[in-house]
Amino acid sequence: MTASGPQPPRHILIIDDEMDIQAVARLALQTVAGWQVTTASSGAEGIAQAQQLQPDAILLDVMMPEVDGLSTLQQLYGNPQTRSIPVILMTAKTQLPGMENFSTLGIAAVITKPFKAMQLAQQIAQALAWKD
Amino acid sequence: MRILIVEDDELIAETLTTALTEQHYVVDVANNGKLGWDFASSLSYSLILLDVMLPELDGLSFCKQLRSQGDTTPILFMTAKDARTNLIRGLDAGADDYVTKPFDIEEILARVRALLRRGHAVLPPTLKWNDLELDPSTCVVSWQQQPLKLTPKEYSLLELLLRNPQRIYSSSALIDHLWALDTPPTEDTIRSHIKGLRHKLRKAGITADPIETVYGIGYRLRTPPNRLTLETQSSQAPTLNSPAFTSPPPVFPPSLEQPSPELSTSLQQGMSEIWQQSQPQLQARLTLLDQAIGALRQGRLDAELAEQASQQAHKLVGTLGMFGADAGSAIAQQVERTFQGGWAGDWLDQPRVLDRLESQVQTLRQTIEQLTLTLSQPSSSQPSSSQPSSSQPQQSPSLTFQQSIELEELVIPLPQHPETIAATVMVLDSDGSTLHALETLLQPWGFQVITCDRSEHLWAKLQEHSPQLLILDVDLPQSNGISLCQTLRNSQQWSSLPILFLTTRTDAETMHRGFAAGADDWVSKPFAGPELVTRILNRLERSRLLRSLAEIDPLTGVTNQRKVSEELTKFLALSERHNKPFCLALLEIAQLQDIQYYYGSAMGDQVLQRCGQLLKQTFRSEDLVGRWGNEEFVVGMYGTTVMGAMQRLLDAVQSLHDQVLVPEQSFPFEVTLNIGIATTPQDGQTLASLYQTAQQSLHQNRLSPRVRRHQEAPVNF
Repeated sequence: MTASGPQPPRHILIIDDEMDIQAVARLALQTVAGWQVTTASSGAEGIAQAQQLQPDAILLDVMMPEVDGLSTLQQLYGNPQTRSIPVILMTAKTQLPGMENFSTLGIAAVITKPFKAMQLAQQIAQALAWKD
Repeated sequence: MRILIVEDDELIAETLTTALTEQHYVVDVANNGKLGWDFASSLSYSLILLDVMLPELDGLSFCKQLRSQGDTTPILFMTAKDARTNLIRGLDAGADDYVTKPFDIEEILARVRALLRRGHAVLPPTLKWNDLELDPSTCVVSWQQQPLKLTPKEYSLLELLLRNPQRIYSSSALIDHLWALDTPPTEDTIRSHIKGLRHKLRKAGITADPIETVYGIGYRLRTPPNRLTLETQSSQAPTLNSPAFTSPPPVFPPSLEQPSPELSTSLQQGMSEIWQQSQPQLQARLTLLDQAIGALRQGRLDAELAEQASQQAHKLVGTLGMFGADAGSAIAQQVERTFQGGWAGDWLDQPRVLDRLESQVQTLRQTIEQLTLTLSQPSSSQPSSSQPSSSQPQQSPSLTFQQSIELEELVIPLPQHPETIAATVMVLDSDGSTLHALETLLQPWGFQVITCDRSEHLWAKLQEHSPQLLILDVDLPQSNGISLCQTLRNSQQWSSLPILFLTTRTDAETMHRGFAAGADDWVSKPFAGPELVTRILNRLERSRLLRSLAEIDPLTGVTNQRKVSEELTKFLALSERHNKPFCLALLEIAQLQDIQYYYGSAMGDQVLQRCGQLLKQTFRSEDLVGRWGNEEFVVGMYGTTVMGAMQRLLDAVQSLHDQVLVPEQSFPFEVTLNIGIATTPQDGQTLASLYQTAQQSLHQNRLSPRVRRHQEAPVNF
């Protein structure tokens, strides 16, 4: 059990190459839930930040150019420093059926895009069974 | 539980697969180290059975490589009895346990169970949820010591959820864990397995449902009632749920359910800023779509541009949806699909598709403009969800459009081609103004809306109108929507009718009861118009897909008899109305029964399959091809004379004939088709009379084959 007392806010790392989605997700998590948010626009940047900042969870887009979401996920899980950070994948609703190759990699949940700003934080908390 | 076997000895691999499959594990087999590596790095396994001596990549290196990546999947090494050094090196390389060959299957199964337990260090040998118990060694599930009868899939589902009480599984994750690679089912199959499982658990007397539906995400194990008190005494509690138990004080503002005015205002301001910033990007996306359409019109759209257009449309789906324009998002999705799928097919050139694309992109542009306008206005409206929006003055007051920060109510672009989605939607609701509002909302979309305000009229109206979708309220004066839903599900005729609840009840308990009773979707009142329309469209699209599966003969891939006779009847009526000829051809595979008898039914199936493929290739897409009986196919050709029809039939007969079949350990043989043909109006105007004439003509042709044999280069298959 950890020590009681005030806890720092949750820290979420968002890895998504689309600026508008990044911006809305950041806004939603900051405003609605009061979480701390860091964003990364590429898989490589995301991995580096995850290692350095040790966020409480990572929100990862599946479709990204260059290092795509899947390889990013594999690298996150392959690295002892990041492997215990829960990862939530974001994917388009239409791509859910084709996900058999990667949704089993131990991810905590899948959130379908488009997401609603109001519900994003709630979905994440629910997926990770955060009771706060 | 998914297990990977990496073993190059086929016999051993097969024996293991059989034994493990019997225990309801899902098994993948790789016959060399490299393939095994590919499997292991793309899927997650609960356990890997690994042979030491392997082609391509040996077991030791495999093991080291996996461990060096931080992968802790349990590995069970299989090695020859005398190779003691191998064994030690294997364990040093990171294997968890070993068995020596030749091995005892029972021993392997026991070790597998032990390793799977170890993966979750604290789980007891039997998995428990209150009085529900699953014993992996005997594959028996029991409730209060009474065994339950589950199907293998239901068993595996339950096992997976019990083993991973923390995780939410999406349908596709469940597919990954529980189905082999070659037979992935649809999401609806998953739903029905879950439904079946829940039903059996309920029947066994379990009042609380152990499976929780996390709406829009997937399924997970529900926290058992009284779990805290039960488990504080046991050793599992801290590890099972430690993040939750040590969680910091709530950081969700209490206003999450009902956003506070300040919160929604600041969120809206933020959203508005982001929207403004992304304008150039949005315009660039539209421009690219315009370019692609222009190129298409000039017949010079290449694969690359089509791909780009599809990607840009894909991004618009996300952006528009995020800013609340669900209808716009749905349209962008259609554009995405058109560019994605259409490139391969030549139908993209058709002017109708072009026109539709153009009007869709136009709608997207309008949607974006409208959003820009709305978002740039300072929010003056009250953030209370019970007030009707001022931008919807024509709506009746009871249909209060949700005034949410998601701005969903602001954009309702009408479809450009309402006739393409015509469907009958029936609404049962005791509130007259809701009925009226739904009529107003849905009719412009091409829906025929049948309203019903009393549940006792429901059955008669269902019979009369055969709707494609039913919208139900939970609270009805004389009855209850949920039990109605249950009754519909149990009736043969309406068991697959899509049912959507539209209700003010949003508590989890009621929603749960609704879904358990067989509801397909749940929308709460007051509802947002575009959201409801999108959900109805999604639902209809799904059920159409399912229906199309039920209309295809699985063996031959052509339409089945029920469906094709329905279609033929439709076309016959059309031919009479427009005074156009209609030809019905009957094709029979000669001596199919003999083929089945001499070469086995598998060869018979192959002949049928090939024949179905050929017919589909030979005839135009507007011709109707169907399987009529065991060896019989029918082809309906509208607007074709007997001469034209005959020519095409002969082509088909010829190409089938050109294919020489070589059964194993026997002589090659050829397949002959007997054909008969009939046409309107000479041979009658009904399906029965045409069929009769075609059959007579077939009998005559059987006696004097019309088609002489041409010897060409044989094609083996």
